[in-house]
Amino acid sequence: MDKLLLLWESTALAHFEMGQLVMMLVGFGLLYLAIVKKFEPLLLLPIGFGALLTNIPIAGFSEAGGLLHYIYKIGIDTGVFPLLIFMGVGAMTDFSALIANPKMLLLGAAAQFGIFATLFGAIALNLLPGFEFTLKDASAIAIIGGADGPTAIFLASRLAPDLLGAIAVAAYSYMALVPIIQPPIMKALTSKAEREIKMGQLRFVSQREKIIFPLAVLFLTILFLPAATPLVGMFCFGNLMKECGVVDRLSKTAQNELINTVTIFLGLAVGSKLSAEAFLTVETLGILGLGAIAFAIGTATGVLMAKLMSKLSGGDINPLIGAAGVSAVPMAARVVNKVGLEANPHNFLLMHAMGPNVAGVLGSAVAAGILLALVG
Amino acid sequence: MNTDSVASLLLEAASLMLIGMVFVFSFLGLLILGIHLIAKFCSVFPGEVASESVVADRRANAQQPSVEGSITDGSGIEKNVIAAISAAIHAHRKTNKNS
Repeated sequence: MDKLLLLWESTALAHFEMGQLVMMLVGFGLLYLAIVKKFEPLLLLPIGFGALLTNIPIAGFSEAGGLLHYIYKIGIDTGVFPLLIFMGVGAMTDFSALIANPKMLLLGAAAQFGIFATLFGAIALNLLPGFEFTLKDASAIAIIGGADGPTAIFLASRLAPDLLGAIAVAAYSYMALVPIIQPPIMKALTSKAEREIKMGQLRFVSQREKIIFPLAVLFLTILFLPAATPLVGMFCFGNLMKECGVVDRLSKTAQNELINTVTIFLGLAVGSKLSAEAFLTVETLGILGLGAIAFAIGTATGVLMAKLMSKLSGGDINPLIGAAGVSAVPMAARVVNKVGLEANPHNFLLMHAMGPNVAGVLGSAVAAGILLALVG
Repeated sequence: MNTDSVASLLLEAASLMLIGMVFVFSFLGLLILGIHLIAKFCSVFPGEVASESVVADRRANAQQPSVEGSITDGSGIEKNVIAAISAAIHAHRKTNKNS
């Protein structure tokens, strides 16, 4: 009889708690979104599976000695994984559309208003019972509006590690939802005539310019915002490897093998943060809500800024491209292209939207640096 | 959380918003200037400095797809300009032969 009891005690059935079951369902939900709906599958699949693993009773994946505990400690606690991802993203980014039309940086800057407005909103939520966001928490939540996964994870790991799971899930879910969230806002803020505006062809950008560009960005960051140099520095390093052309092997590794390896571990580690006690709170609901608002505001200010620039420049800028200012590369640019094609089937805005799109990556990294410097 | 501390936090958030946006705009604005400077520099020194042969070599090796109609070789002459000229010469010779 004793043995039977012991055997029963060693099964998961005897130890399941309600919260764990709910979180396993959340994990399954993420797997469903990744596999069936194909929402950011590269991240949601490992995150969903990590959520399953971490909620297994007795196995202790996320306790001291467990696999996920160490992966989290090594990769995210230290901030290493998001920075390695950023290097890979840098090695995949082509800045020529931005260098050809540098004004687009203003759109990338305008879209960052979503971040700072959400910071305000997160603090305002404290007026409701059940919410107690500190300024650090609010900053980490607000960066969801930057629509940049690694930046959000990096900032959350620095400022609010407890909220990291919810922030990462919100950031990646909304990035997957860009094609649903953005078009109604873009259409509401522009007239059909504005959406039909064609833009002139971009000039050719020499390789020399592309090589000097990441160095110039890094130089400016070193001078004015050293707090952002971990993010911007790795990004520029990756980009320089790509553009200089003499280290193709390293550049290929950064864009493929390395970023893939890190993505697997990053996803699992983020998933390990989806435990019942950290995720099943009213704050998570707040974070999900604020994330959506951050995205919407960023899109809106980007489009409004583009409208303003269009007016000032005599109408040779299609206001739609402002929506691409919320990084989410290249999804946001594709959405702009699609909405542009709906208004005028011969108007291809993809290359023009890539400018504000990569400007948005720089903008959100700069915003993250500001938050780190002022709040961290 | 009591309303007083929320009010002071809100004030802080508002100042962060202001400072943040001003900084983001001025930083990226400075970068616009930077890009213009780089473009100017590159048009003044389009590639006759030491690294020129390396760049040209690599471009030949890598054969990366580039924007059509503006590929330059080491000497700075556009390839399609050369192609157009040689096509014109060819056509000219042909017509001369016929006549």
